[in-house]
Amino acid sequence: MRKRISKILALLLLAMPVLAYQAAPAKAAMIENGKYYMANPVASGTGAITISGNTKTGGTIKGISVRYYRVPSGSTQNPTSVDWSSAPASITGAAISGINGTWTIDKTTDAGTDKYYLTNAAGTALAANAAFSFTVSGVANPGIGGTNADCPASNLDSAGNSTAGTCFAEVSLFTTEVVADMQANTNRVDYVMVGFTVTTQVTMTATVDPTLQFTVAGINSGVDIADAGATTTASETSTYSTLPFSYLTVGSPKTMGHRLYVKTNAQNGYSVKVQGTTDAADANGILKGQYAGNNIDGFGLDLGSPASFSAPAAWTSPTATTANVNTGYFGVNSNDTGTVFTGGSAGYFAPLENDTANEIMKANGPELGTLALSHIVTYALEIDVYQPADSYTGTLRYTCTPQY
Amino acid sequence: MHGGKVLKIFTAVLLLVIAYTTQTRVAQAGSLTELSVAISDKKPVTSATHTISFKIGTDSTIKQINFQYQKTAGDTARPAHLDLSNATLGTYTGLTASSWSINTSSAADGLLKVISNDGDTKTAGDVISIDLGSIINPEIGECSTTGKMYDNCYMGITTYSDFGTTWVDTAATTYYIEAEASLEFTISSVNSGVITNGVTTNVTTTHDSIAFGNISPGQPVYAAQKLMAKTSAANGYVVNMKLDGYLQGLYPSNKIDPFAAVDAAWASPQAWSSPTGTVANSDTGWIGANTSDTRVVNWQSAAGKFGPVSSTKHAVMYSSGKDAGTNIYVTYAIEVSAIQPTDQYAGTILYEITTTY
Repeated sequence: MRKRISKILALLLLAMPVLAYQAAPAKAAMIENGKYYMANPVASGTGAITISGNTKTGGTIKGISVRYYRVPSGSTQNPTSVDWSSAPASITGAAISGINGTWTIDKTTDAGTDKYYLTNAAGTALAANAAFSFTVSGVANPGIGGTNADCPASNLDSAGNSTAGTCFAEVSLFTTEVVADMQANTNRVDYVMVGFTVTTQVTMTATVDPTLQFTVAGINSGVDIADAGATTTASETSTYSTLPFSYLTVGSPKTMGHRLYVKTNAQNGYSVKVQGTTDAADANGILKGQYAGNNIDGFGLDLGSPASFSAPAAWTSPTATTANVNTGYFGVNSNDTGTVFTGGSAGYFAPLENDTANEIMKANGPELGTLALSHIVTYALEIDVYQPADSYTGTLRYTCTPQY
Repeated sequence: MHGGKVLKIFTAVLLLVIAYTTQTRVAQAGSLTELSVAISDKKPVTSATHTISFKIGTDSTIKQINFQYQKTAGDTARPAHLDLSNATLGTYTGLTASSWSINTSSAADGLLKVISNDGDTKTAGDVISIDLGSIINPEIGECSTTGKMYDNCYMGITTYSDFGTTWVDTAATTYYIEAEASLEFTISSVNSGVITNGVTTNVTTTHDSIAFGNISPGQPVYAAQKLMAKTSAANGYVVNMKLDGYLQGLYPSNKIDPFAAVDAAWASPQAWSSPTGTVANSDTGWIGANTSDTRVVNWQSAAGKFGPVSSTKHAVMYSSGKDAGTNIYVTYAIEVSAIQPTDQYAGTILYEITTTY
């Protein structure tokens, strides 16, 4: 019976097709999520690099090597323009993650073949699939080109330009901190070959052309031009090119105005000036009559404190008694408090001057030329009884000068 | 001995044998041992020589050796790109018969047979090594691993004392293929008049310059560059774009700001609109960009829309896995208002591609 049982058992054992699984011999495995990040990706630029990944095997890691190649296989040629000479002597703290301690950087032993080592004798115990990263500052990127110095152009554009170059870095983790062992790839645990691309900078340019738009607009009769002290509303309707004061009554000032707009991108703003251009017989004559010798002068030149463009004065009626000599006044005011018409002089008037341009509007930078940014220049006109009856005309000119 | 007791003993032994063979994987009679497969070129979809070695488990005369390529353990399906149809028998050691040849009749099923009419008499412990050449490796992801730069494929090896009926020893092992790291990235010019993601360009760019030329207030100008990325990185890549600082004038205070329409952000691109600032150099000029890569988050349907261009880097290309080569357009828009100071503005655009292998 025992023999029979033994036979049965033996037959059963022989009948079972045992497909024993034979695992492949352990060897260095590939780091997963391997990444080579450059803070400055520009070809031949310098910056920090961060290498990261997840272990596949793990172990007590005491050494890390980074070796550069121009191509991932078929040649061991390194891009000789890669340079770690300005990298720090060691990294620790915020420059590492997942690994501990201070890691000494050997950037000289195999610098000629662009193989660099980071070592820490105590090591860090890393499990499989453990995340790690380290940052090395001051690394000079390779350039782009066909020589051994640089990364091969990864692809030429349709015009044959080399716009980017790709090189490779093999990152290896070791359970030894002995550089000689790492040189021989002894005790290598995990590794990965990662590609990185250096790029050309792209220059972006644009030229904003200078712009200037100066507009003179008429103001209707009755419109409030309250900043002018002579009257509070326009006496007549002006156009962009005319100031028709019409009939004057002795002792009754009339006012008219222009609204001025400036739209410009001038870096330093603009200045608008006004000057009389009437060729009256009298140099002070702003308006001249049909009869030679008849003229109306600029405002307040005979006042005890004569009005001037630098010292405007409150509007007063002319009181002179010699015809054509200050028996009529023509004055100008601006509501731009950036000019002389500011503070206590805001509502004052100044004499319009022939052949002298005086500022009535300004800005220190670009302006949009909106209604809110426009200004009113007000003109006041009054005569006394000694001003000869006549039909008087004159011209004035605005000049807008941007300052770029 | 009582029959019931025999049954109990038998059952116990049977269970013990099953436990022994499945838990310890220890070699025993009927098993090949010390298997290894060395690949001359581990790259996927690449012709290579597979050098397979193993140690005989049982004294026997061997006339046929089967190599069953598998996706995973026990899955006899052939990996799609594995091509055994042109496999050749190369150098072999441990087999002395001169008549060994290879039979590829079952190549479509992932099976290669090495056969000898004369057979070889082997002793347990004998080592055999066979080169099988001209085998096209599988593609990464066709065996047991996906989303990695490598794959582990399986192979069952069985020796026969005849021509495929009576097996002597068997075992299975794995072999490893590995993708080679690769990366290509190109920046190319785009001509004027090209429609890129809903925008028609006004100026021609080069690979290293975007020259908008003279721009007038209230008139946007569009320019584009074409980017190409190709990589074997299993976990893909991201291409970021940023402006190094500002678009700055010769006067340092003059600058053109990032596109700042209402709700405009790289995560929420908006239709282009004119700059709205009322103080020079504060949103009186805008620079924005658009990407045609719909793989970038928030850019799946952003034709004609723009996000800000600034010193903050933004993704303009993205792939979650390897990429056989993709072209996209990055389109830039610039516009100034009437009070953007006249000046010559310049800045530097930087592209960076970071792959994850």
